[in-house]
Amino acid sequence: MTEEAILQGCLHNHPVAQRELYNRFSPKMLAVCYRFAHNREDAEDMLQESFIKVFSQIHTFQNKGAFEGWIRRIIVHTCINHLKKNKRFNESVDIMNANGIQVREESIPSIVQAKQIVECIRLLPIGYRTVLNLYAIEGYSHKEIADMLDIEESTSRSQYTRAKQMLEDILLKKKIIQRPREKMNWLMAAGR
Amino acid sequence: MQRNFYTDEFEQLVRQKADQYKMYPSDHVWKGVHKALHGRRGWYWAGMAVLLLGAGIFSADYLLNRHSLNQVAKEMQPSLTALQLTQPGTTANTHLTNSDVKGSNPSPDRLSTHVDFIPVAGSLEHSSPLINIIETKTAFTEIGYPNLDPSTSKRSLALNSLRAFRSSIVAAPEFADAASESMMRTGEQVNWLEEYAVYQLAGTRAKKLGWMLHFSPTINYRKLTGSGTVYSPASEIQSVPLALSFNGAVDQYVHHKPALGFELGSNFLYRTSKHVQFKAGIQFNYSRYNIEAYSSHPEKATIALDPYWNGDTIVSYTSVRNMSGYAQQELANQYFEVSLPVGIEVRLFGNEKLQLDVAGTLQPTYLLNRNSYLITTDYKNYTREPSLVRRWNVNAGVETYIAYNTGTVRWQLGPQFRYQLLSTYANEYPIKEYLMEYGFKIGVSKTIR
Repeated sequence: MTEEAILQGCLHNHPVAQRELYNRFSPKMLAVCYRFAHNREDAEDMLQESFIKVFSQIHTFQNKGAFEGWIRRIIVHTCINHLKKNKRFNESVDIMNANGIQVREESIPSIVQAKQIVECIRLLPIGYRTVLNLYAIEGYSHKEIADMLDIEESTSRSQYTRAKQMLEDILLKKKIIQRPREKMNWLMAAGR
Repeated sequence: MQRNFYTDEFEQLVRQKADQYKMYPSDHVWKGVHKALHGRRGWYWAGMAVLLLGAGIFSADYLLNRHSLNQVAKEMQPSLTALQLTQPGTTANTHLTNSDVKGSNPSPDRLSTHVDFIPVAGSLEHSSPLINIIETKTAFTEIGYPNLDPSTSKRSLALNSLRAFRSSIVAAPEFADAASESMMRTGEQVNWLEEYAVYQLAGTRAKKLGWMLHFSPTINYRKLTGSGTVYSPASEIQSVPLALSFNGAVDQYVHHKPALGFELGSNFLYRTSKHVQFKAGIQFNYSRYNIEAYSSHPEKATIALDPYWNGDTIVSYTSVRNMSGYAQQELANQYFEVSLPVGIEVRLFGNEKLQLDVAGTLQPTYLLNRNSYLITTDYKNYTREPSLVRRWNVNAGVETYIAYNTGTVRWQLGPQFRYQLLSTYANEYPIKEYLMEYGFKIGVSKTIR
């Protein structure tokens, strides 16, 4: 079934087309939710709420951009609303200046790299994680993030810097990435 | 520089790996989504099933009760006869409440009879005046009201008992002679009973409150009109809609067809006089009509809002055209509504059994759900725009019907017409749609108290 046919079916509220769309996008979108959520159950709740919005608002999709991007925006906004509703985001703002966060190394699984990185992101305090997710992965600007999270733009910038630093530390500890100098040396060696 | 390179690479790595990651949701997520999107239909059908079940139980209960009354009446007659013949020390004390006993125009509604058997200490002679009254009243009843149904009420049951008792007297001539002599001696007692004792009894109170259940298969259509305002760029320069907008004669450009729907409801009825009763209740309406349209590749659909209200333009994408596309398709505009009708019923003419009535209602209506397409203001496409759909509306209904009374239950049949007073869509949408329903109503009502 082509994306166009799925879209038409969903516009006419056909369950088969809706299921097809869900099957196609839900794995990727659950991963998005998982990066924002506290646990997998929360992520599934966010996904369910998001897809209900997707199907009920599908007539507003204007074919101007990628359909996946449109769905992703709904997913991200739903996740943010969910965090705000559950006040989990607010809790994280309180610890926004905490620098000495201890990372439990045993909680980092050592399997495939994509999952390792996602799990490392999830080790960040939720405020850091949210800003990092929105800026580095979803591509929102600091101004947009500030509007979405009801914080100052400067707060978003500083939180992102700290989040990135913390993530880098975690990834280095787990030897998922190398230090810049080591990396450069490795690149130079590879060039020879 | 080295740091920037590293930073970019680090961000890219994180983005890339995060995007690659996939997780598979458990089944209950889809079930929840599906239930939210399609679960409501179940409630509609469940509601209808409950109402129909209620109607079924109500009808069955009525029919069974009626049957059992008939049975009791039939069984009472021989048993009463046997009782009178075998127990001479027992007599029937019968009170007939009828203010028109002496009048020329008695009303059967005001006639009530109570029969109870009381033990009498003396012989049958002492009770003979009462027997006389029984015979007089019974004869009067039979002559005056030959059409009375002997099985529909306690009154009829009592008459059967009286007949049985009288026949027992006839069957025993010695008792009849005694009764005849006693009648001569105690005429004064008889007069006293007729003039005082009978009238001291309380009459039955007229029942005013009723409950009604009705169902109507309907044929639904709509009336479409333009806004009636002619768009003038010069005068409305501050709110010029960007899209092309036609006014009026929309019916000439669309191909719509009526479709079947239904109405199901329940009312409380309050009778204020013999000819007038008021009603209020709740009803569910399912309305729809069909649209002949054409499939097309996705294209821009524009709705120019009425300059008087807003003047904005709504742009969306649709793949449904009003005319000329690559394939014909039939759409249905469907509406699920709940209303609270309040109205009046007036009896035009008829007798106690059969009447012709007219009724009118005003129905505040809430749109529960809809599956509807709007035509764009250039009449080129159909699109969905939920923000322009009005949730609250007002409908008016008129009907006429033939009603048939069977005791406390009343059946009615007749045509009805329902018209939506406000447009289905908000004022900003320049095309007005008024739904119309032509139906045939089947109703049953029961007097409660």
